[in-house]
Amino acid sequence: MDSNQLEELLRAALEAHAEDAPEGPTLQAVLAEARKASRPRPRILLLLTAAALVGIALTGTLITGIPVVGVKPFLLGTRTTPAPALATVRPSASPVQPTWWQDPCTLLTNREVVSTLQADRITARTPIAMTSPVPGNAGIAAAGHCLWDLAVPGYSRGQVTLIVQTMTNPTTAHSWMSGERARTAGTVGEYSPVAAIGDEAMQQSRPSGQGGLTFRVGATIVIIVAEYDPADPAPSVGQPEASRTLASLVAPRLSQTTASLAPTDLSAETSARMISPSGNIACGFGRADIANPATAVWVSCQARNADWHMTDPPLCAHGALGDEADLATGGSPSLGCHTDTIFGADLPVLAYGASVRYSDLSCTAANTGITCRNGVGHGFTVSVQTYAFF
Amino acid sequence: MRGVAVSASTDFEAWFPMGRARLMRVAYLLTSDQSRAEDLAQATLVKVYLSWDRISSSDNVNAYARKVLLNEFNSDWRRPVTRREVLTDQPLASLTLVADGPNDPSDLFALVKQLPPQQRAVLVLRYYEGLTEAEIAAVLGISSGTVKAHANRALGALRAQLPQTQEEA
Repeated sequence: MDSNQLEELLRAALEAHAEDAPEGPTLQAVLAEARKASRPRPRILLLLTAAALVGIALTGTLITGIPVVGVKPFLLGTRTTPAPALATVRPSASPVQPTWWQDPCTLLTNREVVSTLQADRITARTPIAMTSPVPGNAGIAAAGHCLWDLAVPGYSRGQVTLIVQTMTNPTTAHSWMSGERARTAGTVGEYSPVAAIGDEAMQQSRPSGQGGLTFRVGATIVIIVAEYDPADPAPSVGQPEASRTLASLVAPRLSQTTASLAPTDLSAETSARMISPSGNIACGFGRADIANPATAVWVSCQARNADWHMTDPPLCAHGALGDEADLATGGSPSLGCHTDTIFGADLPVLAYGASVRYSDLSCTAANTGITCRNGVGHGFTVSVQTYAFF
Repeated sequence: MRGVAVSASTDFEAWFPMGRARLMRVAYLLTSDQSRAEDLAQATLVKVYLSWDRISSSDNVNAYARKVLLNEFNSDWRRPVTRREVLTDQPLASLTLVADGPNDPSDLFALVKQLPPQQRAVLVLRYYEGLTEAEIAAVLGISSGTVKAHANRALGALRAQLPQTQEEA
């Protein structure tokens, strides 16, 4: 049988069999079925609605994961913010006296914390007393609060506002990011309290941020400081107020080099700090790797109550102070932001005319400021009134 | 599903007798089962009716109805739950016919029924509905090459049966 014959036979077979087809549905049956098909299906809609409500109730979210406002999930809860336990804070019998310019929030770390969050509040009625290396200076943390994130042991940070009162500038306000420094006793466990903080300083609160992740640790502390500002900006050589308390290792050597031409070499030290005779400029030396004397070294000098500050960026991040000049081995000087301070108690005094050397860096004090330079001839001069690079 | 004013329009009523008969024949050729053919035709006619306002102005309502029918057929045989046994009190005539060989055109259809659904659909559309390969491809939603392949395989399967039966005849 060839193809044509097969196709003809097939056509005939299909035609013949098609004649046996039943009549099919009536018009009325089709219309009745059409009515059913066009009618909403309440049962299905009811089931879908019920399923959606159950799902929202269980998870607090739609299928797409969009949270439903006002619905608190249960059973299959998909909380994005696990409820942290409240911190337990207990006072200790060993008080800690805060030091001058210390991060106020770090003053509050001496607590026993048994959960992941602690909130400390400082009020006007529960001030923190602060001490200054300058006689007559005093500080008070009058208000604010600190929050701790103990998910990272030893870590805290927060926004700190500081108001400094001096004789010449009674209401100088500073704001900086507190913390971002290791806590002295960071692990969850025993902490000692700060003596000057009363019961209200130990208030606790629940977090409002996202649990488990980086928790915003904020702190706002207002410190009112009554600071003595010496009328004479340049006291007599070798007789600064702070020099009476010199006790560091390098102090005797610096004293001996007063007004001498040969610089004192401090390269063997892992770091060193010093202060100008007026007490207005402090400098610190350091090296990139304290275990390796061959690594690059740096020097930073800060001017207290400086008339200048870093202008680019115009404001240091988080309110950090911009009154610091930096210089490193082989580099050019620059201004830097800082949240800590080189100033401190019992710093050795670099007398006018004296020099100190730290590897290829050297600094010389004069009554016009402190000048530091590196081995390639770059450097800076810093005074209260101004700064200069070369 | 959108609401439709379910009242038979004059046009649909006029089209219904011929349209239903044509659909029933094709459905019966495709399914070889009266009940399934009626189900296919009814589902198709309902959809045609619900779309009547939209398709009645087109030139070829029959082509649309055929397309719907083939879609229903494809959905039907692809759906596992429809591969069911149908209880019937009718004798299995096809087995007898196959055993005896296709002595007449209706006997040949017994072989057609044993073809896979897609090949059967191609043969029905081509040799009963008289569609071209391109038209069949459009109706079934497959390529022309696939249509040709289905047709060749189907005819080859039939031819493999026929010479032997012809010689025996």
